[in-house]
This record gives sequence, C-alpha cells and structure tokens, in this order.
Amino acid sequence: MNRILKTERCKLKRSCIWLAVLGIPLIPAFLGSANYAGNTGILTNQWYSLWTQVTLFYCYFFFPALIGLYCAYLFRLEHLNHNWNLLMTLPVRRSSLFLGKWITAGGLIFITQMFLVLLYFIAGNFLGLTVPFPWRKVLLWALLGILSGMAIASFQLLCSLIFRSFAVPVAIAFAGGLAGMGLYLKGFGLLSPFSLMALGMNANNPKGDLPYPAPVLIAACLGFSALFCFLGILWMRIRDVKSE
Amino acid sequence: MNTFTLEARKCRRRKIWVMPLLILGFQLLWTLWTTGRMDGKDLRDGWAFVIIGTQMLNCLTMPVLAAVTASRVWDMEHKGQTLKLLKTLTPSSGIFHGKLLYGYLWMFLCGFLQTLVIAAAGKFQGFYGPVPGRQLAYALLVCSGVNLIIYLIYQILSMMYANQLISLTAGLLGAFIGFLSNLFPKSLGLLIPWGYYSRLSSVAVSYDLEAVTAHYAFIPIPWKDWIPAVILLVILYPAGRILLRKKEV
Repeated sequence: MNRILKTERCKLKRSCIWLAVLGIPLIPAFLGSANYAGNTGILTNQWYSLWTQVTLFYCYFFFPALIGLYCAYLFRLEHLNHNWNLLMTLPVRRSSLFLGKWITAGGLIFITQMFLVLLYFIAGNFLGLTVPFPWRKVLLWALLGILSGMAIASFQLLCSLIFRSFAVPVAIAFAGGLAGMGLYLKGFGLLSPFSLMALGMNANNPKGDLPYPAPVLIAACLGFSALFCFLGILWMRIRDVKSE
Repeated sequence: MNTFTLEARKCRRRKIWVMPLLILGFQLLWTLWTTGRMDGKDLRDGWAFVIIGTQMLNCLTMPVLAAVTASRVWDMEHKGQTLKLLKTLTPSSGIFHGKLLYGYLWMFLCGFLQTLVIAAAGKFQGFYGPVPGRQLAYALLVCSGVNLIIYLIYQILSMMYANQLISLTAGLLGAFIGFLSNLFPKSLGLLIPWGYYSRLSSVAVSYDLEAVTAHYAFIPIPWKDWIPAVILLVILYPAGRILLRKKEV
C-alpha cells in the first residue's frame, strides 16, 4: 500500500490539481470575509458568523464538485494512454489500487480543508475579531468535513471508474451537491454522503449544536465510505478494463 | 452546417442531454418548493420572484453546465489526437463554429425549457395576472446571451488545454464567483461575466431589514448594462477563432 501511495503522489507531483486545491478555497474565504465585513450590523456572532459566510455555499455546492474533480483526475491518468492495461497487469491487489486512490483523494481533501481553515483564521484576524478563536469547534467541523469528503470521494471514485469521461463525474458531483442540499432541507441528511458535508461542517447554525451527535455522523461517513469502496473494488474485479 | 452535423454524429451516444436535464429538474423542484407556500402578497410578486430566483440560480448552474458541455465536446479530440486530422480536412473556423453551435444548442435549449418551466409553474401556483410574456422573453434573452459568452469562455479553455481539469476548475470558480457576485454592489458585479444572469435582470429586489422581507418588482429593461457583455462577446468570439487557427496540433 505504501508503494501505491507513493506512486499516486508521484502522479500528482507538478500536476494542475494544485491549482484547484489552493485556488478554489481562496474564493469562499475572500468573498465570505468581504460579505461579512459588509454586513457586521446583522452578522454579530463574530467567528461563528464568519464561518457561515465562508462555508455555507462552499460545502453545499463547491466542495463536493471539487472532490469530484480530484477523483476524476486520479482516474483520468489511468483512462488515458492505455494505462489500464499496464496497471491491471501489475502484481498489486485491485483493492489496494482503489484504496490507494481513495486515501490519496483523502489527502487532497485534508489539505483543502486545512487550507480553508487557515484562510478563515487569517481572515478573522484580519477583520479584527475580538473573541477567542473557537479552536475545538472549528477543528471538529473541519474533521467531520474531511470524513464526509472521504465518503463523497468513495462514491466519486466509483463514478470516475465507471465513466471514462473527465467531465461526467464532476457533473455528477455537482448534481449530488444540489440533491444533497434538498435532502438536508427535507431532514433526510443522513441518507446521502453529499448532505453529510453540510451536516458535519454545521454551516447553517454554527452557534448551536451539530444537528446529529458527532458519532452518528462519523458512523454514517464510514458506512458510506465502506459501501462505495466495496462497490468500486467489486467493479474492478468483475469488469474488464477498456483502454483508449 | 456540415461541421455541426459532424459534431452531432460524434456526440450521438455521449448523453450530453443528461446534465441540462438534471439542471432543469433541479430548477423545477426549486420553483415548486419556493412557490408552494405562497399566499396573498407573495403571489402578487410571484412572477418577478420566480424570474429573479431562476436567474440567480443560473449564476450557479450555467457555468458548470457550460464547462461540462464544452469539455465533453472537445475532450474527444484531445484524447484521440484527432484535431490534426480535422484541421487538415476542414478550415479551423468550421471546426470552431461546429463545436460552438453544437454545445451552445444544449445551453440554449436548457434556457428555453427553463422559461417554459417558469411559465408553467406560475400558472400552476396561481400567480396574479396573466403570464408576463415580455418579461419572460427578456429573461430568455438574458439567459441565451450570457450563455453564449460563458460557453465561449469554456470552449476556448477546453480547446486550448488538453488537460480538462483546467476548464472544469474554471467552471467551478466561475459558478462560485458568479453566484456570490449577487451580493456585490452593481458596478462591481458588472465586471463579473458569470453574474450577468442576474445583473442584467429586469427584476429589482428591495429588502426590508426591519420586517425581514424582500419585495420583487419589474423595472425597465437595463439595456445599458449590456455594454460590458457585448464588449466581452466581441473580444471572445474572434479570439477563440484566432486561437484555434494558431493552435499547434
């Protein structure tokens, strides 16, 4: 597994994926902070209000699509240049191949999430927020965001495995984000990995408690991750590869 | 027309219609959900509310649709390295127009069906007054016009970079900036093409902060606000053609 992760890291080295990892979180951090600064009369809860401004639309629409982008990119390299033929003849278990990509996607999600938290912290200090930074809560939301991101990544890796087009899995992720928002608003948030993101990051009501206890959310994330990883590995075992 | 038919044949089984259909489905659900509990004054403002709401949603969905469609139309040439073959058989402008027309057609159809959804939803929910045909026609014009600009941006990106990650990242960035540009002052918002869907609207929203309510009303069509959009179109269209002609394959 260690060698697979090393290989995946090599593939990502100097790739354009870093443009997305570091570029997209800048937008919610900057625009969210600007909106907060312009509405301090209404947004009075300092760090908590800033959190809503930075993460609200980000975790509904853009983070899921960004994860779709990461996963599509991880598999795009295999879909091109007959790489599947090479990959499937290597003395490596198929489950390790899939899980290697899932862990790599997790790494990208972790970096994105931590970068967003860092930007949020910098923005808050820049805006002169006076109350202490709520470390514990923010780190819990960030962690739950990462775990729900990994649940989405397992689903997106399955989609990227099935669809050889680069754009289709990204479109599915975007549509999943929209559907996830609908399920969240209807109270069925636990039924979709896409709504877990908004639930876990608590972007709607950061001052209050999480809508579900953290262990329930973690269990749901792990359950979805296990299910889609299993389906992905099964797909790799039973379907013949198609190279282009 | 020949290159358009060629594109249509190449994309025959690529199911490009799925994404516009998903967006329409989402819009229909959103419209029914937001207008389902309307009464009294809300129903009087209903047409203006649903038109501006759809236009704001377009800021979010249309850039992604444009990026995905353009990427799907161009990626096959990059993957198969067929651009060199195409360029020896057809003038570059023919390839550019064929792909532009084919991809844009899906965007236009999405905008057109969206207008029908608004009209049907308004009738179904019982908004006051007749269907505002002129306002709906203008909403379609805004959607189609801005779609053309946005599609051109992503067509150029998908055409220039074989790595579709770049155009799709730009699609997400555009959607994000466009959607959030609704919060910006108008003068600043006009600098962001992804936000033109709502910036060029003929509906004005005014907020009553004390009563926590919003009022929607039709205003005269802001033709002057089209100037930056037209300038952008005039720059992007020839730029795309020149870039394809000069592209080394």
